[in-house]
Amino acid sequence: MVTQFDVVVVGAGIVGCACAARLAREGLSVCVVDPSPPGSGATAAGMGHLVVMDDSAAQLELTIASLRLWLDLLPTLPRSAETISPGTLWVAEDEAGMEAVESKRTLYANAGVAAQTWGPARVHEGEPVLRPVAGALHVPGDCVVYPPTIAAKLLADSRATLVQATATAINGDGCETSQGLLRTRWVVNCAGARATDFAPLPIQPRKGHLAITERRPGFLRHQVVELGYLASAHGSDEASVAFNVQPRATGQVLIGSSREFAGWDPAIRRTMLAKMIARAVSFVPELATLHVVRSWVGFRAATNDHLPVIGPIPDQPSHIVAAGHEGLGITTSLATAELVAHHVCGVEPVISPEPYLPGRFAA
Amino acid sequence: MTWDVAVVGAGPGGLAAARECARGGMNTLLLDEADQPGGQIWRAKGGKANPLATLPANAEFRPSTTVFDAGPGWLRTLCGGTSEDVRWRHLILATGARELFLPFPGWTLPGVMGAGGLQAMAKGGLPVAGKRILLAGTGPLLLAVAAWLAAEGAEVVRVCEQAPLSRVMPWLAAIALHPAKASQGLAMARDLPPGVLRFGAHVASVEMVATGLKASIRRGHRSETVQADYAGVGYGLVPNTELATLLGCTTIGAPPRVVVDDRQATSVPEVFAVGEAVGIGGHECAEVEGEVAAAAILGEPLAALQRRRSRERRLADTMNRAFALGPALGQLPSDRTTVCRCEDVPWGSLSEFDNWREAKLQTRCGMGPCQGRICGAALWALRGFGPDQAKPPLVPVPAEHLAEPTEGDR
Repeated sequence: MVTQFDVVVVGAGIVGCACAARLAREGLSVCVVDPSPPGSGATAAGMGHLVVMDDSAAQLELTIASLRLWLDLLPTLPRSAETISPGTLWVAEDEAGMEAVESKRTLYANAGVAAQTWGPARVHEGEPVLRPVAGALHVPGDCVVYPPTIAAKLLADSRATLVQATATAINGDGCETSQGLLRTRWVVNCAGARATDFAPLPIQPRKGHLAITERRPGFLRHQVVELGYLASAHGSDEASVAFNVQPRATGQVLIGSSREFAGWDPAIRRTMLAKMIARAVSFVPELATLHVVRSWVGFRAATNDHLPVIGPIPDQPSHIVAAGHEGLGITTSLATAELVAHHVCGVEPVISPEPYLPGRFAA
Repeated sequence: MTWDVAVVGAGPGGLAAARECARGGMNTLLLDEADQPGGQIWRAKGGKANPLATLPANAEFRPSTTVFDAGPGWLRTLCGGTSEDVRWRHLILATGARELFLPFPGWTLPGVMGAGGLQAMAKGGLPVAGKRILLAGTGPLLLAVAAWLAAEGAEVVRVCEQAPLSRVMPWLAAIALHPAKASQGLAMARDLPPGVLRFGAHVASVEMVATGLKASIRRGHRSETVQADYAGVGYGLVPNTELATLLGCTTIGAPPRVVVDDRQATSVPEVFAVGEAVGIGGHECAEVEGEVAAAAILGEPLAALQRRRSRERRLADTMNRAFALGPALGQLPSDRTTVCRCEDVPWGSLSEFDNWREAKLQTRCGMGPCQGRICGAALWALRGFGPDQAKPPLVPVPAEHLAEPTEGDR
């Protein structure tokens, strides 16, 4: 086996696979190392919602840039990518929520993202299973995909060497693994919440539960999310649930979401599942009658400032981090790969790389 | 309330365990998803006059009750549209087995079903008198079903046992020493039409023709064509281990069975398992294992029961060796043969994968309502990998039953 590469990517999640594909396009020889099958970690556990998010200006810029890249990629993907374009409905429960809808709409408009305010009647017409609400922001450009097959395709397209091994250290020689040393010029650390195994980074696993129903095509038309989702996603460190349901290409309904810091405990907690599903049923009463076929948990890689870490470690310029994407790893994977290509081979960055650099934690 | 003992599954093993636990003074709850006790075996035979007659008064039988989630000290059950917790101090899993289906071209056609499935359909009202029936697969169940169907007036045109006679001989010799089993076997042989049984033969494919089903049967290098109205094809039994796996019990084998010690205790404290769930062994074996588990919980002497249990298990081992699946069966599906019926996954799309996780994620195999119960078992048998995890709900349930406030977690 060749053990000398231009780049070793640690982690075959969607971020690692996107980086491998992007760097291979620059003509570099790429190796991807992961003990588990491609796209089988957080990539497989999440919802696959390609979504513009505005927790911060940097998050908005990153998600918008990445969605543009996705719109180029989606038409080239096979049916197994399960792409649909239901858009997102951000639901406001009351008048205070409608004010938030309005400021979100202004923000999106200024950033060039199509979005319309829907009143109660329009919401009812557009999403009849939803209980009466004050209104919603409709963002038609958001999409839904099935990420594991996309990760596998990106990896296959990159023609990278896949090494099934556990990375143990990143140093000046390259990447130490359970199968020996992989010599390389650059290491791209795409290990998600395990990126901290190789560098001191403020990233923690943030556990989430999901449940999926039987097939009921047409039951739900949009990804429907409560506006309070951002508060749950980025507010407190306490365990929380938020209403977030998604139609799948299969006609199934994916029910989320929950967030908690619980280490790597893989147990599906029925109390958390109950809270999450009850929240969803409170918005979509008919959901109560749909059969749930499976539930599972996954671990987001959460940073303490809710932005991913993308760029070289300050005193270790050949160690480039691309991790800590929390709930937006699928959406932002493609723009992340662009920024990594900028740091590795100096390609023109699609957006300013500054807000995501690991150096921001140094002070 | 908290039950001293909860028993899941009211087949021979579960009934024996519940009876003995209750006799020893334990408040015992016996659950089954069917509306009648007896399990597949006694229900199927229509036999064993009221199996509940021997249950002491401090045992309660709860029929039509499905367990869809479980954790330490609790089961979540659904019965008649109501879900509730069952609290237990000791749990005995007697979850039985299901039929193993292996994919071959035509296995999803109407009229093609399992051997046990065909018998169940016939009991449920499917008319079989005068119908031409092909039975194929493996194991004693095949002959039992053939004999039963013949007695019901069906025309059993062929019975194909995949195991060669030479491999079945040691088992025949072993059961000849058991008077009850030997006479059972002789009765079956008597009911079977002469000349229909073939050893070392399997159905290679089935197609639909104007007059019904046309099956291509292979026996070594020879092949023949048989026409039938129904085909019952079952490759023996697969232990139901999902509840045990959800509780964290160690399993072993491909397909997996629950690991137990000589007290029928699993790797999880206070959780016991008996009968087919710990390895296919038949109802006599399940009964004595139920008694062993009860005696272990009651702190009663075990030695005599354990000797009986060992005898039954040795016989079962002989049977399982006799009917072990031959390598030819792995060659039956073509690339286009559906392996996962829920998600329409063809056999060929799985060839590049060597583990269940990746195969499932990349092809959707096992993601449907049955959650890999059927395709997963086939993959365990043919490829050596399959589902090794269980997640709630164990069976699809309306979302409202997962949304209820509950205490106690994993």
